[in-house]
Amino acid sequence: MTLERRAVLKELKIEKNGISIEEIPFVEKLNLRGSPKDKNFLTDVGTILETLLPIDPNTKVENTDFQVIWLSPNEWLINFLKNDKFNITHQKFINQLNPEKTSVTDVSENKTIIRLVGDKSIELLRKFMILDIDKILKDNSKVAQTIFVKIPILIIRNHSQDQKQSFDLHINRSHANYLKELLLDGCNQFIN
Amino acid sequence: MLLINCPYCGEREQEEFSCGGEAHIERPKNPPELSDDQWADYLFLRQNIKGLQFERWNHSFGCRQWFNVARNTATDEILAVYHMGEKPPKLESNDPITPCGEPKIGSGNFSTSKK
Repeated sequence: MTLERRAVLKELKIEKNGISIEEIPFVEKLNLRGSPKDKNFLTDVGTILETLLPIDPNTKVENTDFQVIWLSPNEWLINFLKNDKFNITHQKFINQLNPEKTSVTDVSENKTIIRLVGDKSIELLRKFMILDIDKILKDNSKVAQTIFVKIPILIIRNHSQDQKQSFDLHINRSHANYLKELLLDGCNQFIN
Repeated sequence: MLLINCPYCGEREQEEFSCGGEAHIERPKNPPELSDDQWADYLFLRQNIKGLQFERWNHSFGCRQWFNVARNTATDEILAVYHMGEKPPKLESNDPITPCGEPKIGSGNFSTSKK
């Protein structure tokens, strides 16, 4: 028997008072661990991904296929924007990286992504977060791991200065409905 | 609310962190040779200083890394943050900054002071 793969939210996209809350389900993700001081590791990963790993804290790099996110000094999250690349890349990591010094884990089912878009997104997030969003997420190469009320989240800024505000919130699947309800409740303030 | 300067992520609110207690406590090299009292001393007894204390902290909702903090427990002032494995920085005074000059060990209870 195969289990049906389902998104968490019943309605994938909800719009309220100029803010849209959308779940982006089924994004394949890999957790990659290794030492940034290991030149072989950096070279191998760079060759496989065709991009450099972000070494600076709280940053990401992306191309059309992947989004590589810094999680800690020796840990990265790779989001596959095109799911067809996942299996090939996962296999390359397993074949080419030194298994004694690195680890690669499929974490696709661990978290889901809620995308928040709208001109008042930052104002809405400030209601629930202690993070100084303006200071820490100051441009679209920045990410942060923090808490949303009491929920651990990874927040990614998608927009540049002249674009509509947009954030991706990576959260545990079990917290998705709770987060959606809080965001919808917070949107009540922004009546047009 | 404290603002703690994580050595990796930068300044974040205390709520993202958890305190792991006193730092620089070495595990005895010969546990089988220790008496129960000596082992209990290592496991449970802490200085609980009123004043400058070296502590371990973990950025549990951020990068999940451990690091050391030099904090004045009387004023909650964070005097230094440094990586695990580094020696504690030499700071000017270990005396508590308290107006009435209480003893260094908490609440006048000297039973936990290390001899």
